[in-house]
Amino acid sequence: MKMAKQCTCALLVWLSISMLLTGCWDRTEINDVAFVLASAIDLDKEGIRMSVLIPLPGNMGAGSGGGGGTEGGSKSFTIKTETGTSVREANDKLQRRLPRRLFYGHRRVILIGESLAKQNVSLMLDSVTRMPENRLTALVAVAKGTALDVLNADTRLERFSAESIRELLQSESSIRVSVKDVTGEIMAIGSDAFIPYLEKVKTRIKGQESEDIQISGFALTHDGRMLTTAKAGAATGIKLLSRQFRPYRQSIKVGNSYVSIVVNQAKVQIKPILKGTDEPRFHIRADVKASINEDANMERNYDDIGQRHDIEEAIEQQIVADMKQALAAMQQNNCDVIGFGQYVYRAYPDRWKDKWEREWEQAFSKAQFEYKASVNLYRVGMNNENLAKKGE
Amino acid sequence: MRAKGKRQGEDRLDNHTINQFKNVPVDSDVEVNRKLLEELFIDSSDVVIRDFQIENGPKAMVCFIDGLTATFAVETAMKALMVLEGNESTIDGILTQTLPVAQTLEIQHYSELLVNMLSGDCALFIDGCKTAVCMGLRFAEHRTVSEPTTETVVRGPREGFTESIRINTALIRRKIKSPRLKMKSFVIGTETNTNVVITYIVGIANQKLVDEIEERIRNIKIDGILESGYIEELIIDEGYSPFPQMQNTERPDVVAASLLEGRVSILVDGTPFALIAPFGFWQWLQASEDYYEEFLIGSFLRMLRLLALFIALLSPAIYIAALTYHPEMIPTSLLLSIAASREAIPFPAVVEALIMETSFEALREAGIRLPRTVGQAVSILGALVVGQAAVQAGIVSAAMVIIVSITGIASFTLPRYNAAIAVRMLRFPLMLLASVFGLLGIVIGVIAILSHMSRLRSFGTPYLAPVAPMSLADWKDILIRMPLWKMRRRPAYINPEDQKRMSDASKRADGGSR
Repeated sequence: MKMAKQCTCALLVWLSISMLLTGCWDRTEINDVAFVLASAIDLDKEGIRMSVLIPLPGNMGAGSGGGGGTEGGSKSFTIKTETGTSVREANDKLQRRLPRRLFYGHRRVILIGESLAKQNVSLMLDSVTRMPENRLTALVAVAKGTALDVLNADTRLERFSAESIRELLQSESSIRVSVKDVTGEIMAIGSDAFIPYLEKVKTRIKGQESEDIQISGFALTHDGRMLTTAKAGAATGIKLLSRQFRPYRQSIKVGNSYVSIVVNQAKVQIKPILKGTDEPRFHIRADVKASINEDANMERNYDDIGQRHDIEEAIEQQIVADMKQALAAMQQNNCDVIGFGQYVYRAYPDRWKDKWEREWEQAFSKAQFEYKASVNLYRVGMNNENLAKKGE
Repeated sequence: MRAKGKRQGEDRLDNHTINQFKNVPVDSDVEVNRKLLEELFIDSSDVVIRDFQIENGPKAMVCFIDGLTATFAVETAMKALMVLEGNESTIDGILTQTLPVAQTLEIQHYSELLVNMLSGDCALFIDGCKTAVCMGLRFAEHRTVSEPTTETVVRGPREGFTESIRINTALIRRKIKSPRLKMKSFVIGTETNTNVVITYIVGIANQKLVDEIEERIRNIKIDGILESGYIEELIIDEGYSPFPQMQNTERPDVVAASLLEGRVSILVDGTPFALIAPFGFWQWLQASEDYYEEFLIGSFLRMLRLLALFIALLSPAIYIAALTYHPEMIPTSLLLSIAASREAIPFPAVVEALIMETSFEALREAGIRLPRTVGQAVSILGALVVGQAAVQAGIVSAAMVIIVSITGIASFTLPRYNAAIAVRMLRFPLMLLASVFGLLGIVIGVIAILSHMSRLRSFGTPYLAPVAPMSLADWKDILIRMPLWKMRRRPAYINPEDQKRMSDASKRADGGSR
């Protein structure tokens, strides 16, 4: 009994001493870490240009509470850039001139330059997915021009451009596309990835010069390469077809005047039909709920069911047109970003395995589509007519 | 040492302990008794020895301790004997007819006599009698019953125990007016001869539990018991555990409720703190008010306390672990503001946390120990120095101050003071583990604590019962306090002899109308 107790004591002492000998393994204080909030990857003469956005905690005005007015003078972040034959090499070269360790655990945005995206997106994703430190939920976007330029935009509204890009990519004007989504889409046969497409726009008001980042559409890829962009109507079409619906606003010409509508709800059903060895056909049906935001026609009478039907019809036509435009862009470049192939696979798994899986590459651009949209104008706003209307 | 040697050499009578008088009989001659007492109480100015003559009868003598006995009552008794009417000078006659005292006890040996006398009884010797009569005329100064300061409630009785065991037993008896309420008395301590009372309800409390506690108390051999803490430490199962294995309380209603659940309580003379056994982890979270307020309030407060317990135990450790090993776990914007506030701090997170937690503990201790008049100065110093100045001087970060305050507040929500201290103590090893192994270390620490807890037993009852070992029926009163009309049975893990708490006649309040 006594022996056992002595042994336990000795073991405990030995264990506690050995604990001290380990040092503290990979202990890193946050003072020794440079948090990368966003990175931009571009094609460069030397290979790849890698840029990172790092916040400067010392310049953020929080904490010590001394002055608090540091925003005016120095920026609260810095951007470092380096080139290399690969993303990793550029990163390692960059690390050599930084006193703090680059830490990617908080990277929420990855920007890809257009030229690099056109060459290869998947190659670049490899460096992201191999390291456990990286987040697979980081949002991906393709930048018009160079990604570094977009990353360096001087957006006044947020502390970091990374923050405004992230908010933007999550907003209603876009669809959330993360590293995980992109890899999943590229990997599957019968689908391709689409990535939000950003560009920098400048505001030129005297004394208020600023740069903003705007989502102008989607980059469509095939086999991990960006081929074209879908903007305006085509972008709306992709939003509808991708079934990740977010409400959007649109102005539509009804008669001679414009009506601004909100599409609040859209249920899009895609039904593949295979008949014999024919090219696949798809029935696309959109059930939409819309409401009125603004009406330029002073004479419109919403109590008249006929006039409401006119508006509904105009919206229906617009939706079909948008979807057609999106599909035209997709089919021309053979970018099946909606995953029509996957729809076929789910509806006809056997025939997909037998035939279409191999032939989808050629079949997609020849596929036939039939559209049907039905719109329900369920809300006209707080008032039936323009309140400032003369008479009555 | 010199004095001791001298006394042993002389073999003085007053150097003997009471136990040594076990076989010394009361002499029939008053003079012999008188000589013995005088020798025994030499240099004891508070002992009164008084001879007198019983009318038409033998010589008599009273002996009592001034200040512990009601002198006026002694005078009444003496008066009755001195002007004895009739011829009843035999001791039986005096006891049955003459002596106007409610409590009397005939005693043959000095050991028993001395214990009673030193507790405040008055001893009466009559010439020719081989026994002495102990008259229960105890009357000592004591504090009045007042509101307990350590366990305050918003709703509930405001009376608390005092230092006098008689008052304390009366307070319990007043709550449970039943002959089944038993109060077994013991005298513990060779020098202090402290009265200790085991109280329980026969037929509800498990007899084995009562016997076990009695056995353990009988086995205590110590010179003195000054507080119930002595008893607690001497009879608990696992002496090396940081966790309390007996509940202590100042509230008679808490004792009464525990007795009704089948627990056993120990009262000790000279302290307002009663002990209750068995005691387990889930009682850390129970306050008496849970049962006086509506059950939803009680349940909410209990969950809050459990959450607070985890915060008090883990938050500094998690802060250290997240900051030094897992910065990816903290939301980005929060991390950036923490990074900004830590930018100028010269210490690693562990050192920062240790400094702050230690100074908080020191402040808390100072606040209790200092004279009340200085207390205000301490709180000002604490708020200014630890709170603001340390942050402004760039020694600790603002985030750390928040963590320390949250930990402090959370630990004060636990109704059991000693459990809260145990939790606060365990925080430090967890912080060290977190600084060496990160979250892994915290997990190791928590597992170690849990395995210790699950091994611990309080008088045979597993510490984590009724969760481990699981007894689902008793879950009605741990994290959620079910309404009283749902708690029809006593907690089974205590093994009460009578499980039923509510008779079937009260069913109306249950399913029927609700």
